[in-house]
Amino acid sequence: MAKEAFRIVVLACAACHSPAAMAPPGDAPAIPDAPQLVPTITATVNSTMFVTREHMLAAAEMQISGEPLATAMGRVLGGYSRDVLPTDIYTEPDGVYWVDLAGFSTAVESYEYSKQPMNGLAFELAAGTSLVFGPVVNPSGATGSDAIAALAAITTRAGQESNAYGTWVLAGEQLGWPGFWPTTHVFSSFDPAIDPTSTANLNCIISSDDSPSDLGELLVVGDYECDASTLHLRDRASQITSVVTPGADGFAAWKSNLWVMNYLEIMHDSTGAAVASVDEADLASVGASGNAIVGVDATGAPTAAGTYLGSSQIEGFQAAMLLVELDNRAEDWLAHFATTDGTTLTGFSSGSAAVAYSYADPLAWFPSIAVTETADASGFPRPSYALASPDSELLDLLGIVLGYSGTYALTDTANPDVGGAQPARAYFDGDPFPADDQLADGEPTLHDRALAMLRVALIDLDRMHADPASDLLVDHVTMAGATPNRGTTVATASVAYAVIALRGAIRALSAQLELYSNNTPDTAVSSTPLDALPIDFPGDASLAFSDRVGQLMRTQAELLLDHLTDATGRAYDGWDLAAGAPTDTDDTLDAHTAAIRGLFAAYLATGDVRYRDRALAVFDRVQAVFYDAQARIYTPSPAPQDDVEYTPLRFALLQSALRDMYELVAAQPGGEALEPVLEDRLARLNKLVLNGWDDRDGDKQVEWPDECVDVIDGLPRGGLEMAERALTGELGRFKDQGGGGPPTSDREHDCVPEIDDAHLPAALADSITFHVARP
Amino acid sequence: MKLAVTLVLVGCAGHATVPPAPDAPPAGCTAAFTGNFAETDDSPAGCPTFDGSTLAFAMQVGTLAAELDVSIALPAAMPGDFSSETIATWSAMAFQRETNGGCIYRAGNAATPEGSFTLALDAIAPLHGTLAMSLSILTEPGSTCGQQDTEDVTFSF
Repeated sequence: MAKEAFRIVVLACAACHSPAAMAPPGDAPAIPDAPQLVPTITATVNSTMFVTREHMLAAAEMQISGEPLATAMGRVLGGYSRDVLPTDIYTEPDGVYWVDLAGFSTAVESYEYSKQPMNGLAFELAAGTSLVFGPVVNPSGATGSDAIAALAAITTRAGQESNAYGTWVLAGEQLGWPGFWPTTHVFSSFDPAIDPTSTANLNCIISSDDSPSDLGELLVVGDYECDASTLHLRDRASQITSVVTPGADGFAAWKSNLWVMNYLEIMHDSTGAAVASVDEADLASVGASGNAIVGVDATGAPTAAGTYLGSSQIEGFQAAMLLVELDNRAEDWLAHFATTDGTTLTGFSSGSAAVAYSYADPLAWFPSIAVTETADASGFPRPSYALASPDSELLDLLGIVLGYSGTYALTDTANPDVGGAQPARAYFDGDPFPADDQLADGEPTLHDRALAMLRVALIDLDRMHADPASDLLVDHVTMAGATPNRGTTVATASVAYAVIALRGAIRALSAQLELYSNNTPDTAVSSTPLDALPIDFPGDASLAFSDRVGQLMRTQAELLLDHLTDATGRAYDGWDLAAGAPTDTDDTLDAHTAAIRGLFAAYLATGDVRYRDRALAVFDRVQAVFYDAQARIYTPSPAPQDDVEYTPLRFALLQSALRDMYELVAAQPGGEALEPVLEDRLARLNKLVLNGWDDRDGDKQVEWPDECVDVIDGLPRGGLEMAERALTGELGRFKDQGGGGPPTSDREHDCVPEIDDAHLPAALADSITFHVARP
Repeated sequence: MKLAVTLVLVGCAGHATVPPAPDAPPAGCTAAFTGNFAETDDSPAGCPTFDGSTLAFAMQVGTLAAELDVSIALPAAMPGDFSSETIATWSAMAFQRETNGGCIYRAGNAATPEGSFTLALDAIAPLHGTLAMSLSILTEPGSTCGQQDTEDVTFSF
């Protein structure tokens, strides 16, 4: 079959549709009038469990709905400070300042809230298997001090190359950073209770991002920011579900590589200032101890002598460690965890076998893994693995696809703004990570492991989850030996993320995937590295890998358009392939918001305006049916509802639908009327659902704690976001500048408590219900 | 409803049809506010000025106890339909002082959020036309600026 190029998308005027669709939709007023009778909203946290797959999906969406959305709203990010009191202030470049709930809650809160659970999983909580025993870090299975030495050499090197060594990564510490607990795999769920210290004796100071005192400010924060020893799970063995799944690992990888892309946009100099580029001849020496390389900043001005990896000392170090984790994680799945019989974990025979995996090979897939740990003299539990369940979940495989699409982009030198940019190439030039020949040939590199993860996950998604007659994917597959028994249903959210993930894979493999490029239209694809390896597709031996991925994406997009939504904007929960009908007739917010997310992705991938127009129709219906204008809350079933449950997934779907509407419609010419509506809705969503602040009187000031929806023992407990720390302004001390101050539990009075008072990490609850009491 | 009204004006402004010949200019000019507050001012003080390149309003708004200043740099001294999508440089601002701060009514190409306007300029001499503008209401810390985030004003002159 001839190579089928994707259509070049021309997004000349994303908002050029009927004026009626541009008007604030539905029967509700454009911006709700001041409610005459204001409900009182309280909340109950139903579960604090950390369900990793859904949490990391939400965290990735929250990041994309963070700084990039605020930028789309016209905000200049330098206009925000996480530290200044009162909170929520935006200072415009001309000095005008005002309370900016929409901007602050996106640029600072949604964005930084999203990072901290990732850091928790990767470095702090001990909620996974120890990287000390990762298969690349420790291929011989060394134990005790030998195992520690191998990882310590890596953390030391990462610290040196980022110039964090001696400041934050310390020679006297076992793994450099005090209390550091890096993971290979993340557990599928766990009780996140922790007991962070309330002391501030280490003079741990943060001024900008994650790098304390870069700017010379002195904001003393809790000791846990510099020493993770008290951030570990309180009683780890009793709190963890000792299971590793492709979904938890995959979505955690998606989240990690989003941040790594961010950290690898620039380098930094010996003063911490940004370095845009260096002389190409100097690149190999970037990060070398004592180097005197002088680069240039974004204006072309020379930077200070000494150029180091990553955007800052700590972010450069964390980027390296996240990449190590992604690499070890991939190696385990490929070399050790894959199964061909549903009973034993065998892995692929080699990297080249994995990256060349085809439809003609015996089925080899990623099952769920049971973890058994034994004490080790290293101080870290030594894991052993067994097959927990051979069955397969569609969302799990989509997580792998999303996770390793971004990872591959970071290693792809053909991607000019990601893997091809100097800050990334400096990582993958042999030090600290091995270089790759850029071919899909199974080298022991992150480049080839990422390609192999994509290859296996996408082919298995097709072989196991796609109905042969229709190419429609189903959610659940039970395995009988190596034979998949497909379920007959698929949820709309799964279909949406299938479109998103398949699109992401194509974009990554064709060097189009960039940081925050989710709403950038796609361009035609000629060939990808994985197309060079035949897939032996049944009935069409010439079909290329990326062609097949494109076929699957378009089929799922058509399902969204033809069956999961209709012209009135009605969306359905899911599709039953056997019945040829929706799975039910429930009218749910999740189905609608998922459909919007998926339809916009289909539009951007194909340029087919039918998907965009349908997304707009569905959005109109969301506004008309699911928005309670009196309580100012979106409800999971048609409004009004008095008990409104939010989960990380529900929040992520809604927030991302509003985000995509803003970026693809409101921010486009002709969409201006929708901007204040969406800013109002996003601000309310973030502040009420995430923070647990009900601005009952609409004055944009927190009447603390009266307007906090969940107050226990006098302390507000946040909303879906259970606690916070320095990155979102919870410094633990009252002072907003200069030294310390009296301890605080909610310094900025935003209703979200500090982690040492909440005894929970800065993370999302698994479920919270808002109770709407109407007068 | 106020945004719907604005949208109608946007739609009209985009029409290619020739506007009717201007009537004689009104003796006074009208400014009608809707949003956080409703106010209609009808006086010569609400009439714009034009220096050959910039259309400007400077009118006292009773509810705000402040002056609203509007400036729109036109590409040429001739009638026509204009909007915030076609004009590069424009601004509008009023500051309602409160005890602990104040409320900023703001729009313009350098403002955030930018807001929007449509201008149907029927005649230059004398000035005659309609300007519909949406301003953001920005709350300074410690101030109470009402439930709405936008204020719409329509000038008839």
